[in-house]
Amino acid sequence: MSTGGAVPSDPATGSATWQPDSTAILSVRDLKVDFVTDDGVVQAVRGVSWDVYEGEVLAIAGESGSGKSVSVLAAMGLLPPDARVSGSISHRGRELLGMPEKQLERLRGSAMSMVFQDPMTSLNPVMSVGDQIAEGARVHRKLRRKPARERAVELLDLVGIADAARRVDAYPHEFSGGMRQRAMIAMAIANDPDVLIADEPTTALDVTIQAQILDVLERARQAVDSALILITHDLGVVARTAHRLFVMYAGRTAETGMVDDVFEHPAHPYTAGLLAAIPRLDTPRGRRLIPIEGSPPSMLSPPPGCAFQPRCGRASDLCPKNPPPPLMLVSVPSHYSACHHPLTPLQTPIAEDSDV
Amino acid sequence: MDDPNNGVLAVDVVARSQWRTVAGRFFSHRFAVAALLAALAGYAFTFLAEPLTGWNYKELSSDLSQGPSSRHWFGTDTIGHDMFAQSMRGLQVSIHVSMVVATIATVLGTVLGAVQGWFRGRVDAGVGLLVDFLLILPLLPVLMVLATRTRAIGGSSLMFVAVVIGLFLWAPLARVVRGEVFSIREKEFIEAAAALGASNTRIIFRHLIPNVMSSVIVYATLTVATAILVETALAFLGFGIQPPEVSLGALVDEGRDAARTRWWLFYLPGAVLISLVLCVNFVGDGLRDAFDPRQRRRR
Repeated sequence: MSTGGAVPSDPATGSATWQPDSTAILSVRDLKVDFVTDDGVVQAVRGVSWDVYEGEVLAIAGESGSGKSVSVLAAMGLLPPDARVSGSISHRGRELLGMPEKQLERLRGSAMSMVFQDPMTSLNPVMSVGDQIAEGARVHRKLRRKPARERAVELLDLVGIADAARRVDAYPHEFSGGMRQRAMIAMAIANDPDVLIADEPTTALDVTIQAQILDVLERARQAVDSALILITHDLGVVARTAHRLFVMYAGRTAETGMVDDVFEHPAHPYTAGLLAAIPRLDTPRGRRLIPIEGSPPSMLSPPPGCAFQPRCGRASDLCPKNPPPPLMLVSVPSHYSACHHPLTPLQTPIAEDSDV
Repeated sequence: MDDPNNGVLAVDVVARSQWRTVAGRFFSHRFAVAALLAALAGYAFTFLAEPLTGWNYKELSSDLSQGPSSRHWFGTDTIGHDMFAQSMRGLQVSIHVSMVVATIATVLGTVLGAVQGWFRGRVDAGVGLLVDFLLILPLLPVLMVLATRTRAIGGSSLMFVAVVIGLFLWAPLARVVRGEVFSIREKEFIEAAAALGASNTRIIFRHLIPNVMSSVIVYATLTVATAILVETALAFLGFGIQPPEVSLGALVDEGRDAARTRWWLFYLPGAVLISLVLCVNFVGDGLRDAFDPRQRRRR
């Protein structure tokens, strides 16, 4: 799929679910996050903008420290109080930055909810799994004990835990890693959120279970008809699950577009490097994977120009001085790349205020 | 393939909470169970003492300064009190006082410590100042002054003494809980609870405090023992609970001068006191081992 077909097919159902003209649920504009540390100011996120549309799966990819987790934690209002956040994050038009804590609490877990990376530590060891799943329903819907418990059984069943009626009373240590992650997913969808955020949901799991959990996540997403933001460093997961991809490097946007477009025609050398580093079944035996040389810059003092330039084979004199703005790719809508020397020819600079 | 059991056969799963596991371990600790039963039996017996022996602790008999006999099990004092009735009443009072003290100190210490650990910053500094202040205060002199100053407003009543001691004993527990909360608050499940919209109150009471309960319970039993000893020391010095009410400390104090001549006035209430404190400490040890199996010795 190389041309402007912007409607992807859903990997799980084979049907098109996402329309480019559907409404944005969560919009991030020029988000910057700084942490003040003893060594100086760490610029974790340096001005990113993205939208998540209804029913869409958006993958945010990048290596450790690229700011992918920090930007969604900012959206949830879960950053530590010493983080300095600027820009704008809005949920269905309502600004979240600066919103009073009480109002944010009402949104968290109902309109937006989150699945965490490590299911071994994300469940409270002294509370039964059922109570933890029911907690969301009790907090947000003011359900009483019994209906909340019934809801928990229903959700456990939905995420594929056998014998849910009995396992609802079990404690986290009686669950395997995969079962715990299923329980986490059940917790996250308990209140029909319209955005589900999954922060590396399969990273801590056994490879054999990862695919199962991705399926469960997709099933859960469809059951509540929400959008999904999938944070990952695994492009294999992206290819399998996501509709749209957003690649971050050193706190900035590197490239964004429909998954198929980006995979077919990566414009940013970093994205191309990531794709080249994926092991594939169709490469000849004995061929080595191509790593990206070097390491990402320190976020204490990021370079003034393109942050990827020191590791980039295509860099010119322009790159160390001027950070490239996101540019539009020829003939394909919604595919942008922040590069002076893209691998695929770019069209024109986009206007400052347009959606990315 | 989506195998809901992750390849594990669906065996009979019985939910086993931390509490059940701990209870199981505690009940396999014979010494601690014996101590718990002894303390409970002793407490129950304090109510049976009067119908059994026929003596009330306030009653004055015509038998003065008699040694232990079948009529007066623990003998009598110079004015004819039955010492067994007095010791049993003293035991009852000491248990009541220590329970009130332990409840107040445990609740205050747990909640304030958790609040400190969760909110950090100014809240932590403020409560921390109070904790430090209470920890450096010499407890007995302060309690003695309080007892004399407040005699007019009920300073010698049982409840008053208990509440005051309780208000002084929460600080060490608050420190322990604060420290543990500092480590637990960084765990992902706390972040997950916050991400599901749990409020501060909910996080503190439903997630943080249940996770520090093991330390709290062990500490609470130790506080019971401390409270008994503090009340005893206070009574021994002539403060706190006043006649006609008795406590074990007051009895030991009164029997002190007679220890050589009429030994039963001193040693018998003293033995009751020591047995009680020992029982409470054994229970505490058993609980600690039950919560932390690593500390258990091999047998």
